[in-house]
Amino acid sequence: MAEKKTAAVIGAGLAGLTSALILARNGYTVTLVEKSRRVGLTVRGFSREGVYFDTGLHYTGGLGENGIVSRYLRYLGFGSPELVPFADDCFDEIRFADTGKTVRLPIGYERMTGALQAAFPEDAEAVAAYMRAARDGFAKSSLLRFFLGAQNGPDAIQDPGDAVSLSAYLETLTADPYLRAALSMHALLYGVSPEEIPFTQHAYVTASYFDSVHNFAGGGGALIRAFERRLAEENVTVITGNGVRRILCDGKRRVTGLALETGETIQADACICTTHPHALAAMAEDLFRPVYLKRLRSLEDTASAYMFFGISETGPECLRGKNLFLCRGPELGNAFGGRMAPEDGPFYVASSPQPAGSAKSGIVVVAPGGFDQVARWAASSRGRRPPGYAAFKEGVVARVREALVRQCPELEAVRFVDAATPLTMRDYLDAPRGGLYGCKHTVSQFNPLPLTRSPNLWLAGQSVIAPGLMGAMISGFLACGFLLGHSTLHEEMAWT
Amino acid sequence: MTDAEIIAMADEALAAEFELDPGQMTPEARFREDLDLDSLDAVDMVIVLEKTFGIKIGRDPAIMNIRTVDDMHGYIIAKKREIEKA
Repeated sequence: MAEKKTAAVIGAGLAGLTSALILARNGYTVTLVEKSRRVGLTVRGFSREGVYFDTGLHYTGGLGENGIVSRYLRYLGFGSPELVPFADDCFDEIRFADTGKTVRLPIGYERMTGALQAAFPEDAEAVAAYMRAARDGFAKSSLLRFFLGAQNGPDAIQDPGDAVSLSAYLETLTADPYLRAALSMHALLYGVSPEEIPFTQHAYVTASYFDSVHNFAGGGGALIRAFERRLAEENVTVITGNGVRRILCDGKRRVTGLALETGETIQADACICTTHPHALAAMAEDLFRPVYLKRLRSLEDTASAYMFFGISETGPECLRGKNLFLCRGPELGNAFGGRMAPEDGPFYVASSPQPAGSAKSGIVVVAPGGFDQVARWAASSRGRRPPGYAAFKEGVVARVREALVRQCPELEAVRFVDAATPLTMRDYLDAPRGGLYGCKHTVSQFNPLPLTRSPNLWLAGQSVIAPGLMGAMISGFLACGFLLGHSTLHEEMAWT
Repeated sequence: MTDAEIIAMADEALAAEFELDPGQMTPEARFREDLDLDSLDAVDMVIVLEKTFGIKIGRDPAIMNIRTVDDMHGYIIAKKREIEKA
């Protein structure tokens, strides 16, 4: 019997976990290498005083019966995970403090159209046009074409519709800044300003909520634990707390293995790299031309942020089955430059799913922020920050809490127990400046493709295809498809 | 800038960034077959040329028709002339 082929996957975020399972299911002996001590660090969440807090995943589309994520998870052997559905009549509530205007988004294309038209009756036609464009953009997006198997290979990921920005498109529709802001609000979920994001990328995020909105019971932590179980069942070797120093290759740019930071080497017939592109450049100096390495290193990141974690003893009504977006006014653009004070908002507020029987609620608040605001402590590492940093954090928490309660008095009773800054994000996400969603996808930046000049190295992760759980999983399937054959992968998925 | 100057600048920049032997960069040299640059390198080439000449190429579909060094010269010269006219 021929010996099994070996594959190495670098980085154990959602893209890496997905890739490792796909390759293991397809007969590879897989080694997954993760620099942090635990896999799935971004999405895993944490607990304080028995209350669970989601960190990287708060809600997602694609978990309906035939949604993309459901089908991917079934293929990966998860069965049907237990889900927490968001409220049909309002999964996102947007509040503008300056006018007191509130926009409530229900689940479903028709209902969302109706709700937006009711909130902006003067612009009913603009709303209808936007919703049609978002739905069509989503249906035609290269991501979905890949998912449906309509068109595969490198051409499928060069979408010609990526040239128009969200704000340029909205300017053609309406002069109402509040409508523009409401339709742009989901930009906070991928960290790119409306001026820079291609409309098609925005549509991919926003239209993913037309069919269904869920979190996992147990939040992101439950998803990561399910991945850990499946990795064990598929005999994937998981190495944590050890980074890759170098991707080893022969004279023809063919990857032969990985040299780890501790000095060991791993042999590999194929490799999928899911790290931040800057980290890939550091590992792959022997593999690529300087010009490509330079491009990887010069890619700009998505926005960073502050995150605040609070406990509510009863669970506030305003977060039951829905998220809140709290804005002072309709100006969103500044939130992405990294210069805005976190207390100026906008704030994204969510409630994390708790263990059964718990009446308490874990409140997560995300506020804008940039790495420059914490750069003076850049040399420090997790758990070893100087005292000045703790004082800085306390000040930010107090100011954000005050602004938050002013805009949403229902949150008065929330007791904040922890906070994360752009520095925390840098270290947990292994992103050079704490960007939450990898490198940004914009109308002008050229992000790396899954294919590289190496015949057996492919790239996946948020920076490659799209941000979020869906973007990461799709990128894993796309990268593995180049190794296994996209049509093979699609046929297999059709049977699960 | 004369055509000859544009050609010299483009060749020099690409040879340096892609570690090519300047002697290989004859007008008839084909990027894929002779210089081992394929469609995956096209993006890097676009970025180098944008920087060298201070022009915007972006996702211009016309770059997909560039097969030889001569095609590339023609493309850049046309772009520069377009800007001068505007």
